[in-house]
Amino acid sequence: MDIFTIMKNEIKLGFRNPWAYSFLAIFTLVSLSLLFIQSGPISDLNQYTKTTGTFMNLILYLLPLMTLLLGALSITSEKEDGRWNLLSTYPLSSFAFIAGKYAGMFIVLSVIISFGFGLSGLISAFMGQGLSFYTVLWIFIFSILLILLFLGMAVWIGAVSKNRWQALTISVGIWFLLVLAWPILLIAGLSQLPYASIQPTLEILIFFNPAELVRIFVTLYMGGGHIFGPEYYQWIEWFHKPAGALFFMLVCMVWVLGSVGLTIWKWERNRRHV
Amino acid sequence: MLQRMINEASPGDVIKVPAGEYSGPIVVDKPLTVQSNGAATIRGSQLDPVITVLSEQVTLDGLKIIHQSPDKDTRAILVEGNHHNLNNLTIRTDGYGIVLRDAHQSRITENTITGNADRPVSERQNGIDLFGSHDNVIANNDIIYVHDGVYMERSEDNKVTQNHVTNSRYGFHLMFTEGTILSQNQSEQNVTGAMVMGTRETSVRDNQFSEQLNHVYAQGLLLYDVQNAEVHHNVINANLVGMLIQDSKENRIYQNHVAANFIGVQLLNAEHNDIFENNFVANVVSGQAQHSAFNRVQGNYWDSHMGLDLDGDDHSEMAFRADPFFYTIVKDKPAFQIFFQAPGMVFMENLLKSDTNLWMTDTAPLIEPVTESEVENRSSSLLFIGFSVLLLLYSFYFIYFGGIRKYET
Repeated sequence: MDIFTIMKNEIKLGFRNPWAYSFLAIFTLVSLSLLFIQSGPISDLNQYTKTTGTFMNLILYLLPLMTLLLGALSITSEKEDGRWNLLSTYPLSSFAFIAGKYAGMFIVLSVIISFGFGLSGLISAFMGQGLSFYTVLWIFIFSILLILLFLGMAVWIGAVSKNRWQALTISVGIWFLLVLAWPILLIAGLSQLPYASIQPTLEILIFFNPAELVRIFVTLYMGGGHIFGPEYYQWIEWFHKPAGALFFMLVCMVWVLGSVGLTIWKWERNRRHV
Repeated sequence: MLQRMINEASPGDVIKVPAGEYSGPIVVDKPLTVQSNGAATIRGSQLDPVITVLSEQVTLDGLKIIHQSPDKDTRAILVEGNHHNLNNLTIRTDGYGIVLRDAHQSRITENTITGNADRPVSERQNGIDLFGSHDNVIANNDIIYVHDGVYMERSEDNKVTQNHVTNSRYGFHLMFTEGTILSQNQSEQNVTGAMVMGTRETSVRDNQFSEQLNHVYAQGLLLYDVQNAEVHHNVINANLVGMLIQDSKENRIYQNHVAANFIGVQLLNAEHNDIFENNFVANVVSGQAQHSAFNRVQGNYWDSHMGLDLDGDDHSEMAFRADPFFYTIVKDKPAFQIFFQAPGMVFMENLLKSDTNLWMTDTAPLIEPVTESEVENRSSSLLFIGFSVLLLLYSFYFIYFGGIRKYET
């Protein structure tokens, strides 16, 4: 039950945190922009268009950063404010504490995006804009996946950072690396390799960047796999099979469990050393 | 035996070929109808065509022809003369399927032509091959595993309609023809959907060219040295290059739906063409132009364009310019295409804007795509509202009970 108590407490803290509301406002603004970009159903087969791609990009700029900041700062502040010092005198396991905080923050973040999507969805429905349900559903799933994966990374950043400033710096740095600099770094770096090894390297590296992982797979499942070109045909075909989808889910789970597990281990180690 | 029946028949007779196996070569040299319900198979393995059609008004109907030959330049059916009718034939060939030489006003309809799938494309021949043949109708044929599905050279005013070609080199190949109508055909998984070269007054309309990808020079539609063609209402999707317009001028290309290709439209040394009211949707690179000033590219819908319509005429006052940045990166190393529309890539693209004058430019792009019928899916709208309400309820629940309400102690 500890995990549940911590989770409830985290939700309470989350919704009393002005940051959460400013993110909620920003995210709602971004999703309202869905109304102003035309995304009428041009083809029924294909949910992926350049417009949905652009919208996914907007979310990719914003949501990972939001998740990293809220997540990392929440964990670090436990240390900095001394609340964890107090809590650790009780028989509360590190597992329950971290897992509870992860679950709580996931709910806070999912509420933020649900509000954004819900509000802009209703407005667009009343304005008579024919948004495709499945497109919006996919973008919602896309956002949820981003939150799940980046939140795992966020709690880990929170655990290794000594204070809020460090957590902030690392969060922004990782966001910049994974979201903005990633393609350019890889193009610059991998161009030195022999051509035949570029693609396999890229295919492996995708699994190490949650932003790319989620972007590529959601694009693929929305029926936009062709945009990656004939070189990736077989690769894409494989991931369209049930085994491929299962593998994708497995990778996501490894990301979440791995990063949260690593955080718990680190947290527990620090506890013993205190 | 079949040949003897033909020899003994008088002009105008109808020969109902009994079920069974016959061997070629067969020559039909007078107006006759040779028909079967599909149970008569004619085999040939010599250099002569399995069936040669001469004179006038010959009808072949419902026959099955199997043509085996080590030499690809042999023919299953050779047609000369006028007013013939080749209908509902099933042809399996190692060489050409149906060859028309100086044959006019004939109808080639509802045939199935299958080449030899085991041979490489270069070792096959064309499904239907016309040379110096005018005013023919080629309709509803199904062609697979050949070199070019329908090949026409120096032929005039032929109508090619509702044919389906797949797993071949070119679906439809027009060389130096005049007045050809190519309509409602389907070409998929060939090197090029339709290769139109050196023609005058060609009409290419209502065709579907898709999934031409598995070749470095794959295209949906290629216009090369073409003048005065009308290309409209075609659906061109999932090809390497949707439309390639090369060394061509004064063509009108409009109301085509060009979607999900690597490059939507590519212009090379093309001038004075009108490209308007086309939809360019979800192409990796919408458009690209080299040495092609002086084309009128106007009023198309480009889904990658965020336009602004100030005066309410449905056209954007902001021009659309196709940015070649991504193209230059992936041209030599296609593996990097995995970064298509990656946020970092879009970021870089906006940082490094080069000289925009050289880009393909649509001065008045459309704000909304061109649609003939409303395909808006209103049935999903209720589902959509329900989903939105659900999301809002979810968020209100947690904000209220989780955050705002005091601890219940």
